[in-house]
Amino acid sequence: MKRLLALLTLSASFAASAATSETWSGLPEGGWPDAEVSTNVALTVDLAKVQEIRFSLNATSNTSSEVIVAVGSDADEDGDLAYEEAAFYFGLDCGSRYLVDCTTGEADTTIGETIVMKAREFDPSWNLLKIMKRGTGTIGESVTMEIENKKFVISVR
Amino acid sequence: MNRYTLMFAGVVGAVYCGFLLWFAFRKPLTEAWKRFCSIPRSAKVVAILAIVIASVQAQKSGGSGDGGGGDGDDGDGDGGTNNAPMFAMGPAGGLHNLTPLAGGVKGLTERRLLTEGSSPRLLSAGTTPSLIVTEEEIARGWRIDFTTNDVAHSYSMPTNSEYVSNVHIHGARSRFGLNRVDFGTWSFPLGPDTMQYGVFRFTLDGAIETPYSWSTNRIVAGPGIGDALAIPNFSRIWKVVADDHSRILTWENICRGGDTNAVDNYQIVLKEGGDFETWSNEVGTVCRRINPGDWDDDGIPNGRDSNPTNSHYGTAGWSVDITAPKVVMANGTPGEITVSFNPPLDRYGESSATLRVNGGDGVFLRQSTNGTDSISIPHSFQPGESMTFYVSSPIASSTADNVKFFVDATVGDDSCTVTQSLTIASVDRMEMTCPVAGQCLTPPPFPGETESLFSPITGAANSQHLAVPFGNVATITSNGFEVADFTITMSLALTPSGIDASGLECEWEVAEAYPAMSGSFVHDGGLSARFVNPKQGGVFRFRGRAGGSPWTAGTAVLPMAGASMDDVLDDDFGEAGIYVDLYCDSLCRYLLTPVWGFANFYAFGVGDYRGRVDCATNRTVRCYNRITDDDHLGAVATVRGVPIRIAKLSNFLVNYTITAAGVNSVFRDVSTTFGTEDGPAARVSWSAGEDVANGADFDEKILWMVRTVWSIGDEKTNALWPNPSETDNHTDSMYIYDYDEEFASPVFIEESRRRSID
Repeated sequence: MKRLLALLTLSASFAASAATSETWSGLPEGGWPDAEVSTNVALTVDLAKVQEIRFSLNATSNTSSEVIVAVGSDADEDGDLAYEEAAFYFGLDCGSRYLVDCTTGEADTTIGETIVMKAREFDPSWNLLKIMKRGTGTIGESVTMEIENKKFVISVR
Repeated sequence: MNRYTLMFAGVVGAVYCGFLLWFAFRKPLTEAWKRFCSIPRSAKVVAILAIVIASVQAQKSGGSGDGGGGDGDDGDGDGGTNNAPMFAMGPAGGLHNLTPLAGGVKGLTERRLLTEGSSPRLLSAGTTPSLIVTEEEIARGWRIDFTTNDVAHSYSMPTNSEYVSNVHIHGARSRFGLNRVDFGTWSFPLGPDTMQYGVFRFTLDGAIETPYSWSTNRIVAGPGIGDALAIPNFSRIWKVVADDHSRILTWENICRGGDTNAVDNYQIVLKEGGDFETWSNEVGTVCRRINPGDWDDDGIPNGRDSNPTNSHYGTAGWSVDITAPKVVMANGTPGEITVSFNPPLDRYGESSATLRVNGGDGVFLRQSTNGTDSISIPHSFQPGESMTFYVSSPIASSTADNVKFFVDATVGDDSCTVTQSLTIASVDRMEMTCPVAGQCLTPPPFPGETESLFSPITGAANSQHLAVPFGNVATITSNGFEVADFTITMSLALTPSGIDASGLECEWEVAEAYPAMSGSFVHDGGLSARFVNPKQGGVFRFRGRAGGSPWTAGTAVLPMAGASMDDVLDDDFGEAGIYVDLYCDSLCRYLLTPVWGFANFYAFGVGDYRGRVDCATNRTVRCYNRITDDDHLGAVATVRGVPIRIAKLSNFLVNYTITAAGVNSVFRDVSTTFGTEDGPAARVSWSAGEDVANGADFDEKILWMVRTVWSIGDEKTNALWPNPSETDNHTDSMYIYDYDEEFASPVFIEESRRRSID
């Protein structure tokens, strides 16, 4: 029995992982009555090392605000992610969350505050992330992209 | 009237009855004095007080029965009249039934009108001939059939409509966002292929597109993507299922170009099968889907069609042309269809054709008199030969273009089918609008293919008509009235909606102009007509029909006041002078002033004009010139060309008479404080009588009085148009049995007149 426990202990695997995250917040307030403010962020993801990518969107919900996060390829290289260039986008619209897949046209309104993508789901050509805010008032919006690198395993035999 | 007045009124009644009996039996004054002395001291005091009050009240005309001289509702406190509050200004044009939510944004103005005019008219017959399609049209999957305008088009949403999304809270300047409208299991083919969509994305400025970001298939009702702006609590997007199962999407109060002073409405009507309409304010665009498998819709699949974008051609290059109306009226003139055959010169002997009609209810074809739904023509057509057929139906189509007319033509083994769509329509209603119209209980539209009537005598306020109050168009000056130009516009609305009726020939006529036509009636043979610049009142009935349909009539009422009573008033004024000279002796004035005034100018309305002033050839419109049922007061007549309540004339005559008779000014002034407080018009007429008694010129004063009273602005009076005809229903009887048909001068005038004759 002791030998068995020792074997299990020695052969136990442990994961050593490295996660990086970046958060964007504090977009300027839109002007009256309904201006839209946005910012574009370059995405550099080394998919060879990435296990999954998590996007989180938080904001104080009110009845006159919306925050949208879009990801896609800046085909015309103008530094701005146009609607036609987006692969997907998700938003928090007056307290309701949604995710739109631009390729299939499908929308999901049951998502939580974090979207998780496996590395294989992430297209290498996606190089731009766009954050948009509409409505009035300060809503404390915050967008976080967390990249979970691949785990490596040490086995002791 | 306060309670003390009521208390005294009871006493007054008792005392008054006694004095009436005294007058009736002509008891000697001394005997009456003895009787008075014989009553108890306390009763004497009460009687004297009552007499004083009666005297004061008596010097004020009007208001019999209630003792107050004017608890009536004319707003002027002098004569028990009955307003018919019909003439508040109607809503102006503009936002067409839109009801912005509370808390709208300051500074917003009405949305712009893209076109002038107020009746639908064809703006464009489409960008291409109906049977030829272009590459651009094929690429997008639809073509424009025609555009039209209709300022009466309503963007208001029925009660069962629902918000599409919370875009009404905030708008979207870019295309990102959920912005989806889901029609459930219902689908619509948007684009040149056969893909059907139940879910669409919309943009804020009036476009829908497929839910795919890569797709370019879209329909635009508004100005296209741009700086459109939605305003919280003001801009909304709705969807609703229409009666014909169309899906209607409406953008309400969108600020064009981000400008909060430029508010637009847009609408897209998606019809089953792929046709659709777009509306941007008053401009409508009717679009037809292009069949992906048969672009020119000639029945020959594109793969086998020698000319798939032009339906005129058969497979061997010969052609058949159809000339047919787009709209044929049910129960109207049959539609004439001309079919031209152009078989090859060398093979025309092999040609033949069959005509068929499909769709609609009760639709049949005929070449002569016999109706059928199919006609075979075993005939060798000479090149260029044409034949004429007729199509008709007693039943209107349920949807536009649902009747299809086919020509199956063959030349030997080579055949083609040429089609043409048309609509069997009927007149649904007649719209009638005027920017200066007043409110009616039952306003237009008038029911289609019906000739409803309106009588000045029996027509009720809830009989359907459009009314224009005189006060809405007239201003009074030192030279009389100036009547502004205005136009009443009427148009025939056809059913089903969304049809191209540009080819329909319409007839219009003035069916009735009572008492005489005023202004002009103009039309251009289209669906609308205009009644322009009438300057005289009356009842005007117009009727129109389209394509030989039954007539549809609508009535515009410029309600006439009672007839002119200048001559009657002049005579009565003269008689009042005689009355003063002959019957107002010093004994009456100084000993019996209270009783004399009570009996001759107050009791039972003896100081009032009563009944309705009218003329058999130029009737006043009774529902706008009502008189009260109980005391028969309140009529409006015309004096010196100006409408005025006859109660004001009574005021004038009474104060003229008692002033001329020497009743002291204290009694006369005090009398005006009883009953309902006199309004400005009552004071004007009252003082005019006094002025004339004190030497002012009668004609000048009367003219000043009627104009001043009119300018004060009594709603009922100012609604009525001056009646130029002299009255013919004045009676010299002191008793009237039909107050609607007769009117009488004050009793003291008639009594004086009789005594003069005796």
